[in-house]
Amino acid sequence: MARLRLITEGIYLKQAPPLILIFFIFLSQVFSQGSEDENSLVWKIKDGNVNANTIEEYLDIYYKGLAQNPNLSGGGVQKHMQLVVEAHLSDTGISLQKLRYEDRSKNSRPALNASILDSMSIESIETLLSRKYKWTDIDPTVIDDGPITDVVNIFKERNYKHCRDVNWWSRNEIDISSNLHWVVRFKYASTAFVLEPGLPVLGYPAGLSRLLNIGVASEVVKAYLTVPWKPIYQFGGNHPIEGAWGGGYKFDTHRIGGMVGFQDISLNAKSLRRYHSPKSVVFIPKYALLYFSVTFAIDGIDKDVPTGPSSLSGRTTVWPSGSLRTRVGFKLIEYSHGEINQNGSFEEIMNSSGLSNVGVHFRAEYVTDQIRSSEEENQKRKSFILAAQINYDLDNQLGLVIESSYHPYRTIKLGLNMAYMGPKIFEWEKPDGTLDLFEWNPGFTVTPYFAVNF
Amino acid sequence: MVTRFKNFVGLFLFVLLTVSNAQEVEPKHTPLDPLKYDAWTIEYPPYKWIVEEKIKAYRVINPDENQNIPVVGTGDKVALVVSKFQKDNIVEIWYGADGHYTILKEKQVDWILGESAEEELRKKNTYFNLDARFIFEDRTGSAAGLNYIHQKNSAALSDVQISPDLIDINLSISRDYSFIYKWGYPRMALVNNQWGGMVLGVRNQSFEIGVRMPPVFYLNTDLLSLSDGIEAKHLNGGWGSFGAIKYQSFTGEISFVSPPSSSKKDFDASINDDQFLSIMDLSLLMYTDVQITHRNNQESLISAIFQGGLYLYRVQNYKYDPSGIFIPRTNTLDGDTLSSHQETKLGLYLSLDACTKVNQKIGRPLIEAQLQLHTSYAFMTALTVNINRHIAVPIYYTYMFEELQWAPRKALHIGFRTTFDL
Repeated sequence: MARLRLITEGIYLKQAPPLILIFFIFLSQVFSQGSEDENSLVWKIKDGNVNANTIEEYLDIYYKGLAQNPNLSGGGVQKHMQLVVEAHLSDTGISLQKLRYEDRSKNSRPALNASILDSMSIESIETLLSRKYKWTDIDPTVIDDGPITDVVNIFKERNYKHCRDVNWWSRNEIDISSNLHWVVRFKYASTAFVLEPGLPVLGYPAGLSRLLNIGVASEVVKAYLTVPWKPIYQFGGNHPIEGAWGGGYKFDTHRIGGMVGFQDISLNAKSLRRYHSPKSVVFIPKYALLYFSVTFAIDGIDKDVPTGPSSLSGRTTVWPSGSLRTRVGFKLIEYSHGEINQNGSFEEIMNSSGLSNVGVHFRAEYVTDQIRSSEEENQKRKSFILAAQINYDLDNQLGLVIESSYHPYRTIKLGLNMAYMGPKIFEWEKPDGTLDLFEWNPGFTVTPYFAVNF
Repeated sequence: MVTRFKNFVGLFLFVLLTVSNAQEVEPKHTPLDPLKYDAWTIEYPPYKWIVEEKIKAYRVINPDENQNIPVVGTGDKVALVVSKFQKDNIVEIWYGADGHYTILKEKQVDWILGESAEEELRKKNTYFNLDARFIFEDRTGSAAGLNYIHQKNSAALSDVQISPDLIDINLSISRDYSFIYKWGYPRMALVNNQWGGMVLGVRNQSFEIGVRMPPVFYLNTDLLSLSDGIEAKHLNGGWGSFGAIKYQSFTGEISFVSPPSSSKKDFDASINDDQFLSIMDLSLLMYTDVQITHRNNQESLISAIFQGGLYLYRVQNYKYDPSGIFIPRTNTLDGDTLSSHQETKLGLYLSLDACTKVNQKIGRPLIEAQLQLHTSYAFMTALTVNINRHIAVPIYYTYMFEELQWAPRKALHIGFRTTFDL
């Protein structure tokens, strides 16, 4: 079972490895499959009849043996107790290693007498080993000294989907943020209504773009309508991309994700006031992104505290355990530069093309583990999310995005997003044959927000 | 009229060799009621491995049952069925692919998985999963035909499919993902190379994404093509993307190409000096499926699905100047003048997709038919005759409602489709 546990926990790292290491093992992990050999099986028999019949046969032999040997051990088991089987599995079959019983009064799992087990009928042992009854796995690492609990869950799966979900839509049914990032998940269907400002994945979050995506999302896909929109508030930002009517699709699974979308500025209302810079408009007519992702489990860091009431064991958490999801992909963004004429129509001056449209995308998201022990603890949960993203275009435009949010309580979220997009140069030939250029500088923006979750 | 016969000897030999080694399918499905049961496939590898390992262990412990309980194969789907009313048990586990499923019943699930593994696997919302519609599929009567149409429209019919417009190869590491190479777009009435360019990408049952690029090569599976021009008119390619999503009965598709970069003749290797170019730089298609024939009709000879939605396309016309620049043009080869170098059309997309009763032996209907209408743009009809499970002959007829610079007014393509398992 140790094997299964190792596999289910995926890549378990004591400390976050350097990014470069992540990058190199990234693709090998995307489609990799684990292989490991393990021969030990430990399980508890949950079928009352199997337990009672086996114990009865065992005790019969025990009492007969006791007459000959008054010091014979292994008689503590009672018919109502549950048995724990330790077996060895090989290619040729399975063999019994030990048989234990759970003594809840002593909170222990003593082993039954092996010599008595040897005297038991082959049919009884075969029944035990066939597992054709109700049973449950036991963690082999705690079999000797671990506590006995009613639910022994050896599949301590890191909640990678939780990590994906908080960035795809929300872990809550309702997540309404002051920066107009809204998610309303419908209770009886795995769909949600979603509002998303900007194109953050491409490096243009709310402060650096003037568009809003209104869509419907499912577990895997999103479809959205794009509309021009001015952020309610923003700090910083020099020259955002303009928004236009359009639409697109997104999808995201644990392995790959992507998006494809378009905007058509000719559909915009003929009003100059709607544009940030009518004389130098930059917008994105078409875009696509494809990425591969891998999620790592990151162990938390605790340290000893000499005094203080914060921790039961005298230790405090310096860095909480969580999941790190990394994404590497490439993108294709077409930029259009032009101006709004007196009629309110967009006149294109130049359109980017070729390799300058191609770029790479890297993103790392860290989400602290969800506490699963009790609802009460969940309510008090203090969790946080951190994300860092780099977008780099082959024409040397660099974009950085840092997103952070903190849950002081489960229903409240405080966040701070920062984004920087470097300058991009548009160069074109004028009718008289001379070259002209425009340097577009989107700049740096900071967007604090608060959100309520239900 | 031009008639082109293609030499397919090599392809035929390859297919025939493959077909001779392939096995026929006899689907064994017991349909469950989707109102009573929830079913999903496990998409998270570690959880799939739990099932895989448990089955392996059970086979070692009980070798007498190995014949009935095979190992989980690489790329097999693993699906769980849970009662909507009594959620504390997994009712069934299905594993396999392409209609070959092993079904473990509730008691076997208890014996094989154990309580703690079952408990974890039942928590659907905590790991990646997809709806497992195939669990509820009845493979008899009208339902079999409807399932066939759905599958044909959203995924490959077998591990490998070579059609007149695409090649689809299931990835061996996961059959949920396919590698696709497309060079036609029949759903926009652009058959074979009429679309211009090609797409390399991946798809699964929920999405499709790929890179559109200039045509490196076409695998022309036309046995015969007829069109009303001296040289069949077609669109030109370029760099861009293609994306599609599918969610329940809704499908949406977007395709775009960036404008040609100046001074880059190699943008499209096929162009010549002074050549007129037309590039579909944007197309959008959204539609929803409505089943016309009743799913539970065992006697029905025909199954049909109606699709209704919207389409939009935008074509940019250019002229390649010998100086190495693409110039937007407003004139045609015939000397006519256009109001703009850009043609945009928005209209209704209506389609009727039908097939005859699925032949249980070959797992295909004898005849598939599609009538497709893009209002004020094109009408297309497609008729496919399945010779056996692996070979089919599709016939496309397209008719454009007006004279277009980039597509023949009328065209007939008789193609070749092959499907086989690896």
